[in-house]
Amino acid sequence: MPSAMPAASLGRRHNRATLISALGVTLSGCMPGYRIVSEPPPDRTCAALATEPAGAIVDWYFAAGPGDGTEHERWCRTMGPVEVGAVPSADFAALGSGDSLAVAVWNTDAGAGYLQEFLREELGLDCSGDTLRLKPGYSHFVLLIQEALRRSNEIPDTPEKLWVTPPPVKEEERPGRRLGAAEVARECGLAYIYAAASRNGWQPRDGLREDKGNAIISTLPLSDFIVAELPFEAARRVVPMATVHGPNGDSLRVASVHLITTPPAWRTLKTGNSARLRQALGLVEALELIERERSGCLEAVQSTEFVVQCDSTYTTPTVIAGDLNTWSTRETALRHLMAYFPDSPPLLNEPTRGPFPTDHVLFRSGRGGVRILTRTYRRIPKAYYSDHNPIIVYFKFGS
Amino acid sequence: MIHRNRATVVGILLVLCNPGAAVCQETSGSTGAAIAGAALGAYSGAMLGTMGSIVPCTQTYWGAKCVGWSAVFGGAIGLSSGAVIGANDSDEIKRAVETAGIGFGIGVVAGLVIKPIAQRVGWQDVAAVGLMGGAVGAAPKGAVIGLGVGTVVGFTLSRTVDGFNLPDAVGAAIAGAAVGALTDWVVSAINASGDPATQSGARITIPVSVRF
Repeated sequence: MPSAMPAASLGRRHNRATLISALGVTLSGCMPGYRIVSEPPPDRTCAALATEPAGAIVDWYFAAGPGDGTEHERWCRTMGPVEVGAVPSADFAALGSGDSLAVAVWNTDAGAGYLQEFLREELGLDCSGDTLRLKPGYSHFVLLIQEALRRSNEIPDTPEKLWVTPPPVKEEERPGRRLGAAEVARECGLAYIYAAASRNGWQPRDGLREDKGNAIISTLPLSDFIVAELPFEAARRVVPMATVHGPNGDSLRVASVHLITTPPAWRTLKTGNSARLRQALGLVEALELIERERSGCLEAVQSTEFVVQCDSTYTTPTVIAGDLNTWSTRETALRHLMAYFPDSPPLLNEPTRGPFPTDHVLFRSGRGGVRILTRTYRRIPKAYYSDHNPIIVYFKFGS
Repeated sequence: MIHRNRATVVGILLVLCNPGAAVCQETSGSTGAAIAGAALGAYSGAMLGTMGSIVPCTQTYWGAKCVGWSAVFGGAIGLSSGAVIGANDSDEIKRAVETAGIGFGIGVVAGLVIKPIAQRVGWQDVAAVGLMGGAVGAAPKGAVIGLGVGTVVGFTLSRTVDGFNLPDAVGAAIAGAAVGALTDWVVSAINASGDPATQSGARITIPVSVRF
């Protein structure tokens, strides 16, 4: 028989139960906030990381959302310097007014990918000869690399017990020397920026410590070097950015992006699996902040009457591309990024990592001056010993 | 050996699926059992809503908001069902608490197995897998049936519908388990709130027949 309970008792029971339910709900499915700032928050030393060569200017943007600072700080203490080289070899011809620019994207699986062969076969640059020259028919290029490797004892010798050192990435046997991205860029006379995100194992391999991060290497000069931290989700991620220019001085900002794979169970439940979305929105905020600062709009933002004007002054044509770790082309993070980069080519629904379409190129034309050649967007079938297929698309400067 | 394994599987499925096994309506409920049922139901439902919606929701523009609302919806179903069950049949809540405990234990063991293999998995992740196991364990019959249905549907759609890929199939299987478990809560509540005198004839059951 059902028990007969007084109304007051039932009311109290429901109140308690509602409270418990509300508690459970608040613990699940809530995306934590994110914030990007240009001034280093207190106790942050990442911006003080050395730059190689010394004196090169790199602007930092910091993740300052809940918990971001502490984690970034712990991780970046194990990193080596940001490496930059602004000017490529004079052997490369200047970009002509009718020339296209290739933007290639590749996750090299922390040195497993055979970068030298990729440059030779796909981008027409053979670095083994005496002179550095692109093969006939090949365009100037910008290559955006994720999981780029560095092997150097400039990486600090840190104790394993910091718990921020992922195990080294396993590699297949392959021909060719195992070089870091910046090392290859120097050997091939390319302009470059390399910013490490995490160590690649704690112990040295062949006597050298290793870290991995993102890089941009290019046959064109690079300027306006930036490193933006992404909101921290299970592992540290940073986005190096640089600007290339067309024959008439038009600018194209490029950013090499690597979003998190899958956060652990607790974080997934607690945030409703919003890790990649949070990082994507953090990146968008960083780009907006960069634009505002460079257009002198930051001060104007303080005054309400200028807000609209400032929000509409996103001017620099920008490509963000990389391993977004998406399971499908319908993912939330990708949908939000597509809204922010409305001039992107149609998403490539082809697998670039196992069965998943993880790698993408997104574009925002801003004030114009750069066009994307949408039909050239494609996946490169050969993975060159990496676990990702590269992708490539071409751009043209001028309206 | 194969026959023994089959027999074990059949035995487990029969115990899980036999509606008669859940018919123990001789005891009445209590306020304490209603509160415990509401709490267990709210936890199980919110967790099931979260688990079941994560993959489908992250294929939409709304993402975590969609997951959050699914958790609210699941929590509300679990809370009300659990309260009704507890108010009418405290034994049923005791059983649910026991199976949730078993589910939690299995989850924790699974978490402990994963911990040394996977990167960045800490103790709170072991606890999270345990909590997921507990949520499923509170309504195991429906979860098992839902998982089976979700897996078949997901697999079939992945073979027939263009653009329905592996993640969608995995999502369908997990969502199936969650929906099945939530249905289990609702069915148990309806059964518990019915007049015991008529239960033998009007009881709602989840019809399952297993043939090998």
